[in-house]
Amino acid sequence: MLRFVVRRLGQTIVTLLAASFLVFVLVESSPGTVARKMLGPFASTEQVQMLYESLHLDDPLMLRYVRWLGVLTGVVADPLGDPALKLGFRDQRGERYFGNFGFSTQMKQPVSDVLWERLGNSLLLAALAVAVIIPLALAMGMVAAINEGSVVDRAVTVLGTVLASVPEFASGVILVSILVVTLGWLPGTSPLLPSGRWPVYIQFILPVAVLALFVTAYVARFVRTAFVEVLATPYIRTAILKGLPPRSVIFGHAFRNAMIAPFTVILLQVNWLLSGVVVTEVVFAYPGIGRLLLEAALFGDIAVIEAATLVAVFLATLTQFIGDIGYMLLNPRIRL
Amino acid sequence: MSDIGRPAPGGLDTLQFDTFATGVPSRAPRWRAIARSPVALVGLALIFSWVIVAACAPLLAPYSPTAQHVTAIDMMPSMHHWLGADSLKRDLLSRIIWGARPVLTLAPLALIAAYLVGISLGLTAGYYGGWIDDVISRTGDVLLSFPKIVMYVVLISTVGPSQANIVAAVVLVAAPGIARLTRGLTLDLKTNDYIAAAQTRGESAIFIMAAEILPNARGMLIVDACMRMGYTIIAIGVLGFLGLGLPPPDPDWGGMVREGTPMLIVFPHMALLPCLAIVTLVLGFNLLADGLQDLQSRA
Repeated sequence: MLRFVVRRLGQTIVTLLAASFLVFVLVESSPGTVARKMLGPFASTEQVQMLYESLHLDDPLMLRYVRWLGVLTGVVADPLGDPALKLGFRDQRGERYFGNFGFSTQMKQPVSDVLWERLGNSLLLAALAVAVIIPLALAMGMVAAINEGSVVDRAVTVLGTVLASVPEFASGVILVSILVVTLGWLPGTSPLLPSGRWPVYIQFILPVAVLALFVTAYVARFVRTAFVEVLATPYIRTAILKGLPPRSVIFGHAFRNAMIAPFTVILLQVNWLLSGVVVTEVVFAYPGIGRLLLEAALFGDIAVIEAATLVAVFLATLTQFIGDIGYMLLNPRIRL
Repeated sequence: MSDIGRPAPGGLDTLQFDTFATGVPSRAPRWRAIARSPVALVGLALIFSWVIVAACAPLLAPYSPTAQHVTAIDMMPSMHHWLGADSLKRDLLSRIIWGARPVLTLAPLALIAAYLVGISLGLTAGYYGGWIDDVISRTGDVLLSFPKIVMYVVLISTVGPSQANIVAAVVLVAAPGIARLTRGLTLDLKTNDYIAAAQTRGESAIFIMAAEILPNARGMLIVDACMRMGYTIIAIGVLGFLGLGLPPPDPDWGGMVREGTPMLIVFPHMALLPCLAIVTLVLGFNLLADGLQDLQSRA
């Protein structure tokens, strides 16, 4: 068990390194534009040239990547923060600290100043969505499986397909037109500021609904399939024949075994959820990491693109890792 | 989603019974069998309607998709503009009709490219195993660790939105998943006697992969392709919505939703109608995938 965890942890770290290298290559491969992007469109050619030289942007890509890793892990200081450059970048955390993603050229401040707050908002949104999705999906899937072949069962299947065909921006637009424009029950944006007549907690309803709509019925189908399989096994028949009440057959015998497949699906959905979070945040002007990434990508804010992407990949690989371990805990047969 | 939307490769033997029994590549799924699945038929009908709309766009569209009509004063649906006009007073119906073209050319083109890459890599990894498998699978794992939309946003914003770049991005995002699926199927199929027989006959590895393994993996791959098609259409729509789609003024459904969203309070039709177009097309592919999957497990 411990050896497996250590090995998976090693794999996770290698994946993260490879992913960070990939992102670095993508956004920083052309060194000329790196300096230009950092200074913005109004800087003179001389200024760009000066920055280009003082940041050693003509070094080989590999060397620059290692230097970037050094800044990130707190081994070396970010050259952009050098007062001699007179760019006015200062980080109150100091020059060297772990998790230093450098400076945002768009917002003129350390990435760490915005990143963690935005990440917190996104995690809150994702957590709320998961808290809605799991009980709903379990209930729908179990009801469908117990009534296999019935109208309820069909409805769950069809609903899953239909809802999985509505992208988040479309369900956002549809929900806003009904609940905001026509009925006026909910706010159409979620800036998380206590503005106007909408308290902050009300602003969560629509983004969470949009995220849950796409995923819930889909997960429910997996729950259903797994339950149907488990309910057909001999030990369930034995439990029923032995006269156990249906409630204890379902929750005592079937539940844990039926949870193994959906558990993986739910954790895989976290990767999917992160994709949805980007779109949902844009639809509702929600101040999360997805909107941060999009704004940085449209502007060309290199440090923020790298930071936001890496955090997203980190979350995705972390859930995979947790998924693998949870999978083992649920299924003693594959415990190593 | 398409990565998890398929049955686990381990459950494959229950899906493709007769191909295993006889060792003769069957035509899975048999096209005539589709008539037995109403779900698949509805899906096909939806897809074909949009294909016809895209193909006959010049005949069907009442106006040019980029022409501005000053007479469409209130932009609401009317006798002259059945679905109303957008914020620049361009006929919405014409834009939706013409907008079917970029989606229905880009998505299939990109997926064909992605399948060529993904299937070759997956077959190679599964058939040879060893370090070749390790290299291909680990590289794929790294690419799969990116949330898809994040990958699209970073890629397209770096290289710029153009048709060629969107196709390239779809290949990079979709191919690892396809390779993983194909690898799993190959691992399963290569234990069959007919593979050993082919090896004994002295067939080349490429022949075995292309003529013995691939045809037997086809059923699963076609179901996967339908679901992936749905997702790729969504992804292209999302890119348009995020402002990373094809450049204006040519109509692009995702871009139309983006332009319509600020007007939602006054003119909901501007954003709702292109949304509906995307949803119906995606639904077509998802229903077809559902139907095909159902037929395979039933047969």
